[in-house]
Amino acid sequence: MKIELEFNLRSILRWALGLLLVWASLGKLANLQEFYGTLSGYALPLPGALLRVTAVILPWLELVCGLLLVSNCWTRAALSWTAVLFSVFALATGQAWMRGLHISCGCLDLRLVGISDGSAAALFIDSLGFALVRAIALGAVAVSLLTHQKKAGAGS
Amino acid sequence: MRNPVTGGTAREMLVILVTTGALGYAFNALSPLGVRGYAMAPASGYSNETVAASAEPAPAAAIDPRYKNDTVQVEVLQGARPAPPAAAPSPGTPMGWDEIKPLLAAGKLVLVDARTTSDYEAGHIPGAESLPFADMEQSIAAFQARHPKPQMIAVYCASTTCRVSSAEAAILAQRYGYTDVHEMPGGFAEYRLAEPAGAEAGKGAK
Repeated sequence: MKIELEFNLRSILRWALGLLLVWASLGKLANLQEFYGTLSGYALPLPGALLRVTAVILPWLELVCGLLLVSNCWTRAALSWTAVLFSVFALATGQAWMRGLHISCGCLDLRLVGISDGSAAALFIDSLGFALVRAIALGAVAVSLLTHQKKAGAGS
Repeated sequence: MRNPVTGGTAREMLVILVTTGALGYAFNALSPLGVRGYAMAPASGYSNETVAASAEPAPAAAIDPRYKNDTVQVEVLQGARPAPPAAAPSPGTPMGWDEIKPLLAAGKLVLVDARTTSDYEAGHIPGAESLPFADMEQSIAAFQARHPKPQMIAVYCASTTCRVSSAEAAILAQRYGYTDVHEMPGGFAEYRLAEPAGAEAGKGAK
């Protein structure tokens, strides 16, 4: 019974991570220019060419990883990339937050879930502080699922 | 000895990266809202670094005509944006419409619309100036001539879900030296919520 419950919880977390990544990717893919503008707003000490490559590839990496997690296919690889992604998100939002940049995180298109622009909920969800906490928590979930996957793989 | 589990995962990760890279570049090439900068070949004689270093608009003939009215100016601006010096000013605290409204009415603040020209023409906050993020390189000289650097500026775009206002505010402060730049995070959506009648009156007017 306990094993079944753990299995179900892990499946739910994997699904949640996957759907969140798919959601995050759709808003970025709808307007890559805007996403590029978002990345520029982070004022990262990176060359423009690298920012452009990131703007082009990252949404697809999110989408493919999300779909793989939902379909439970290549799960270890998808979880590994997910952990990398959330680590990078945490670093990017963390540095922006510590530098006091006044930018929205640009992580999720809230209109897709019916949260209106300018609402208190939208401002909170898109804030850097909440984005940082969210990235750390979701990264921890990905690492936890990955660790279990590796254990299960080694044990089989 | 090679771990088959780790080795398989690494291979799958590589396949995912290559696949997403291919999908990303194909989609970007086809998308009308794609990022265009990387498509410009340095051999054309038009390089981001050269143009930005001279701080002059690129000669029209050197710009790929496909991107003449597209995002090329953003790429020029962003592609060569130097790391901001330590002393460079950064955007100030975000401002809401309730703070901006009296300052705008008193002529103490310049409100900048960072959206595209067509969005601006379709409807904007009355009194706002259009300085599209995508055309900053072209429009900034005239803007600088009109407004000295101590001028208080607030930048907005469509809503909290667009990000060009924060990027434009950062560029105005860090690259062009404006010392009192703010973002209006709620953007045009916040204004429309606060002043539904005003939004209608603002249509088509500058």
